[in-house]
Amino acid sequence: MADTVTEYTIPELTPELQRGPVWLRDRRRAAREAFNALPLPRRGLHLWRYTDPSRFVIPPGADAGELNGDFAKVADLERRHLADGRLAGVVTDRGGREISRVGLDEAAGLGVVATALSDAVDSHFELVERYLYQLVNSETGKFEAMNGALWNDGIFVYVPDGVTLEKPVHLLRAAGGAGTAQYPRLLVVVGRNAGLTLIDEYGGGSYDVAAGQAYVNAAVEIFGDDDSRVRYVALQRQAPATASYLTHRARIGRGASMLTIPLVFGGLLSKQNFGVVLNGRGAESKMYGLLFGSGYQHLDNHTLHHHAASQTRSNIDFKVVLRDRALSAYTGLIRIDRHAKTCEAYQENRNLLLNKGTRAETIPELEILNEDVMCTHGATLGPIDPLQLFYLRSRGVPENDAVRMVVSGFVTSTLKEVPDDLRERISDFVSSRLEGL
Amino acid sequence: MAGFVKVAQTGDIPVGQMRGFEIGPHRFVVVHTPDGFFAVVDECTHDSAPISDGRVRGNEVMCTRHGARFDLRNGAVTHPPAIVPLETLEVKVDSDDIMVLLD
Repeated sequence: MADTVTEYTIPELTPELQRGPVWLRDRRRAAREAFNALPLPRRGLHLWRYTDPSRFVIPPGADAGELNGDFAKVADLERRHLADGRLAGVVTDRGGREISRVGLDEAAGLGVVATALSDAVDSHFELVERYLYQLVNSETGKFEAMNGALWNDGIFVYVPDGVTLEKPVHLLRAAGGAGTAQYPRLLVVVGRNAGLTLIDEYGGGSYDVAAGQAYVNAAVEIFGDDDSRVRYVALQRQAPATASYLTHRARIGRGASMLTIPLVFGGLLSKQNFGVVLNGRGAESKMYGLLFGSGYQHLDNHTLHHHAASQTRSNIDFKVVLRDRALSAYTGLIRIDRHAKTCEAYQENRNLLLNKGTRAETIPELEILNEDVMCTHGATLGPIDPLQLFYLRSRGVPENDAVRMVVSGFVTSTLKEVPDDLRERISDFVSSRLEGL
Repeated sequence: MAGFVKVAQTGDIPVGQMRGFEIGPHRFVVVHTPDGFFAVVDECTHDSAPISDGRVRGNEVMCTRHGARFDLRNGAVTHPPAIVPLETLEVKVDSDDIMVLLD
């Protein structure tokens, strides 16, 4: 085996992590015990076929450490967007030490809450006690239990019944530098017939592989009540020597709609798991993912659409672009329960490999227990069609520009779904990744 | 990090054994065979199992997940189900130090 830590147990929780109400202390302790009792997932098991689990065992002693300040630029940009009226507010989580808020006055007037999770444990204890750990907990897995025990802080967002926040709320999460570990958590509760757009951006981390990696283990829980409309964008743009593990689960009720947009660009090793449970008749979920890997990035992503009610619809379009020696493994599961009739589900994973040396794996999975459903999936994998390049070159477009044009076209349908204030930055990310081709 | 990097000493890896390393983005195994030291990427080309979990026989390594075998000297497949050769890394021994070329 490689020289990595595999036998790590979480020691007794620090007094800081034992603060708060009794129920929270009990859940943290239970999560700690579950982590210590659960074995490390065996390499080769479902969802661990392409990634070594030991790479996510955070070395003992690593703490938040120094946070790097690459959020300053983004925060400035977001302040401008706030001034332009393109955002409802910005919440910045500096490694759990400090959670600052900008804007949100108008939202607060509507009863919308966006605050530190540690504060919400007191101020909105009924909601937090009811929902926290419901979807991401030690039954989800060992690393989810780790976050459950160690989350140092996070963000709580609540939109009351009947309130629609037209403009997005932008969450910025900073990771620490080399040798540090971070456990952010997000809890979102959207009321009946309410609407929310949330941009959840993960940045920072370690820039120097030689100095050591930074680790981030994040958990996201989103609850959308009946007839709610939620758009959730997860942007992972962490520094190139960062190992990132994120588990996202959402549950939506009758007639609700959920749009999830995972955007994965950063980190050296990234394993992200996005899942939506369609829990009420007529619920609809769409996922539009975009991943761009370069260098030696190892990006392992999973999606889940769980149809737990009849007449629910889901659609996944997960796009991957790879260059250099990057690897992407995508596993997408559609599960339809026995009692869930007349559901519709579609899943598509398209992979564009820009050079030899890249690798993409795609594993569609269907667990369909009801006969009266419509369920399809598709996957493609390959280089840019030489005929497309030939066509562009025959019209005088240089080859490099032709490649950029084809990639831009490939990602356009996903970018259209991204909120305005973020679209330009994502487009710039894609352009910067294409430099030097 | 580019260039030859010292990873171990010759006495650390007896003949017939191997050891996995993770250096920056590189994950590889160094194997000690009767013909000397060899390094290959620590991932079977068939189903991505770690080569470091496999077995060494002479100059061959066998992946224990599905039984694919590779010649450590050049990475060539010697037994299916793998089709694609293993990527090899250049190794040199400088006095007692095992050095592996990383790009």
